[in-house]
Amino acid sequence: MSHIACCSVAPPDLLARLAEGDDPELREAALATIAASASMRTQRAIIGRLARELDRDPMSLAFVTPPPAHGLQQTVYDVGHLGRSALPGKRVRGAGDPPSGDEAVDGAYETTEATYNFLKDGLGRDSIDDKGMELISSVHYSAKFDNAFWQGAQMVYGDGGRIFKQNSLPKCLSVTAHENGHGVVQHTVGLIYSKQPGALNEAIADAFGASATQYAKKQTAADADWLIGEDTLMPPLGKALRSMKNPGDPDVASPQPAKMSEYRDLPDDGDPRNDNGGVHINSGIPNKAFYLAATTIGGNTWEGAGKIWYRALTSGLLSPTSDFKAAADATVKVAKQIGSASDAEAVEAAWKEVEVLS
Amino acid sequence: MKIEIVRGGGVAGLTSSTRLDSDALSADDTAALEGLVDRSSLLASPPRRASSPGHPDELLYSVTVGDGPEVHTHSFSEGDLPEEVDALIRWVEAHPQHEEEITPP
Repeated sequence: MSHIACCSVAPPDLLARLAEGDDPELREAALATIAASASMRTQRAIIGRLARELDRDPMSLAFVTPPPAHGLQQTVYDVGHLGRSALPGKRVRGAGDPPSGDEAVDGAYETTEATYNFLKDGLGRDSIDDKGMELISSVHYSAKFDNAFWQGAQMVYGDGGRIFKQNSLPKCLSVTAHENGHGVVQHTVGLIYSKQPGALNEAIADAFGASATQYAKKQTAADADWLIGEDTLMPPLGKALRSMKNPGDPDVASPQPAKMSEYRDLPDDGDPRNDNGGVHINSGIPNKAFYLAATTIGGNTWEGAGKIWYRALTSGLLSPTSDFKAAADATVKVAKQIGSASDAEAVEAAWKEVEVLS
Repeated sequence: MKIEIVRGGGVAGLTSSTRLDSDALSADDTAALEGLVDRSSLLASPPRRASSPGHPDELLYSVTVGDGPEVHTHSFSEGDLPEEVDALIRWVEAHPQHEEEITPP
């Protein structure tokens, strides 16, 4: 009891240290105090930091998650070119704030807002966790950092410099929606990030990226370009990261297989060349299946194949170790439940064309 | 002393390699590099392997340091990259005489 009273006036860093300490009573008191804090942003920052430092899934800290808010809750932070220990960084722009003038901050803000609108209005999902979770983005991570990633509790963007054009990543909706898509996977099926389940995780994130872009542009499946990370790369590296329409397109940075006979069985051995067992390589196969299903069903992707894939993700039909075949079976089953006979035929034909179903 | 940094994974899935050979460096830069390698403990510790599975789209790193007959390779994910190794990587990347290559996986 006294610990809780003590903690209630403690600064966030002290709370975090107490929550990481050896004294179980102090740990519980600190966590309870964090939960009771008036500042949702502070809570999110601490929860994210605790998840990183304790190497725990942020969902395991869900008991300290504040009550859901209504509407988009988001904050963009500037890491100031520092590393992981400085996350989330200095708060720059929150929901409803005017533009900051920093193109990375404002880019992340706008693409996050567009992603939230797609999830909410396109799929009926209230943010990443479907409970109104605040969306946290940190920009200017590290020095000339050529990447954007989902860190388990928030988005992180580097400035680029060698692979990516300066500040192109936070401004690209298909990248932001892809990373938020990883968050949705984490809060639903929790596909492990290795080999085939990892490639499926990547493909679902790409499906979110392409669908959110089409939703924002009011494009049909037939009209869309189906590119991920379009116009983000230095010119010699290609027009985009990947093409869901044509995974083997030589004009993208990472030409991928488009059917199982081209599958590359790489080890998940920690070697960066092997990409967690080829997760960004073999995702071309389920990517192509999604594109085929979406264009065959026709109309808006998020109302056809997108709805079916999303329902499969949230229906309990998949598990953390699901492979491509399990995804094919789940989406065919869902299509039969919620779509027309021709929708189910389109989904089954798509998986057959990429040689996942025979 | 030769050092090679390989990065893979990430949202792009590309592999990029950065190499630097102390034979091409000034005495001051060689001393700075050796100091960073010492502080990283890469030559003094058994090979490390990146934790798996990591977070989606995190970068994976391998760092190979060769000093005479001794060659040590360690791998890390973004989430478990020690600050001392991060400092070494940043120094090598920023050095004007580094060589770089970017390839599809």
